[in-house]
Amino acid sequence: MPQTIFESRTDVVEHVKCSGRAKGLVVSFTSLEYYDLRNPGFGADFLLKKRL
Amino acid sequence: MIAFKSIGRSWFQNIPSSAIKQVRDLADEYETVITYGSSMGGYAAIAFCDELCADRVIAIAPQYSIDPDFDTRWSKEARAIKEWHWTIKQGSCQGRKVTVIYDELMNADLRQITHLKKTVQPDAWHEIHVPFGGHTPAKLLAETGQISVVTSALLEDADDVVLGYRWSKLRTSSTYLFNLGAYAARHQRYKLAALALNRMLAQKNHNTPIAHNLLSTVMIELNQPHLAIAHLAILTHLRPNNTALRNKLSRLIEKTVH
Repeated sequence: MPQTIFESRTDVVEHVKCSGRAKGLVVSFTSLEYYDLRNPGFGADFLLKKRL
Repeated sequence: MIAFKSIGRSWFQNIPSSAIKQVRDLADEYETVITYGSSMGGYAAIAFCDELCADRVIAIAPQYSIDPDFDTRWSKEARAIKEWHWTIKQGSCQGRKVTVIYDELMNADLRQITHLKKTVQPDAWHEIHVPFGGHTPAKLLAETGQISVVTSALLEDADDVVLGYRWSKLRTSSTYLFNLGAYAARHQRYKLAALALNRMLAQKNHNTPIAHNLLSTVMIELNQPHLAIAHLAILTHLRPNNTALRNKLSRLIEKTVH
């Protein structure tokens, strides 16, 4: 489950932890939900499964 | 992963320093930090990379500036932003690797990238060109089944990312067909423009006003006023409150009939 770091009228910042120890962190800025890295089409599975 | 999500299209200018500090503290625990974003998110991926001590930046069709004097596409959003707290400064991204994905055939984005290139001073600058991706190259990559491969390669810091377009995928990509049609129309290749735009409109759920608008112009150039009227009529139906459009349709009907 994403953990909300910050929330305002205009922006939300969430932390999505993957299981186990990850070496890399991707900080994603999205203008549209479509481009969110968590969208399966955008490599989320890679991020969460391979743990950079 | 940390996700900054903008609800208000404010170019992330309302993010407080305290939130950035929190993210930076979290980022300290990782060996590699990568900022990523598309369009407004691409701007932010570059603007925040120094604050977040990122090692690498992946920016898709990012902006250098949305000042209406420089680029009119986001005039409304630019006017609503009262103060710019997080900007792309001269000499930013030093010591970082920046990968920019964009369509160099799109003049407005090419201009943004040209200015970005002169402003930032990364350790390494890489470009991936996505022809006919328009302002949404990531969407074209997704529609052609390449986005996961490309994203994964970039996150793993691959030096070379080779795009593999297949016609079987391109022919059903609305992004490709629309941008090809728009490009062809700009270069007076009206038959090609009509072919691409009609093919786009034949796709499911792609009955977009902008394609009908462009096709109505293309059909006039091809001396097919009846087809131009048909596209304008659809457009008027899709945008019922647009008086200028309705008047344009009336004028075209009158001119064609007489």
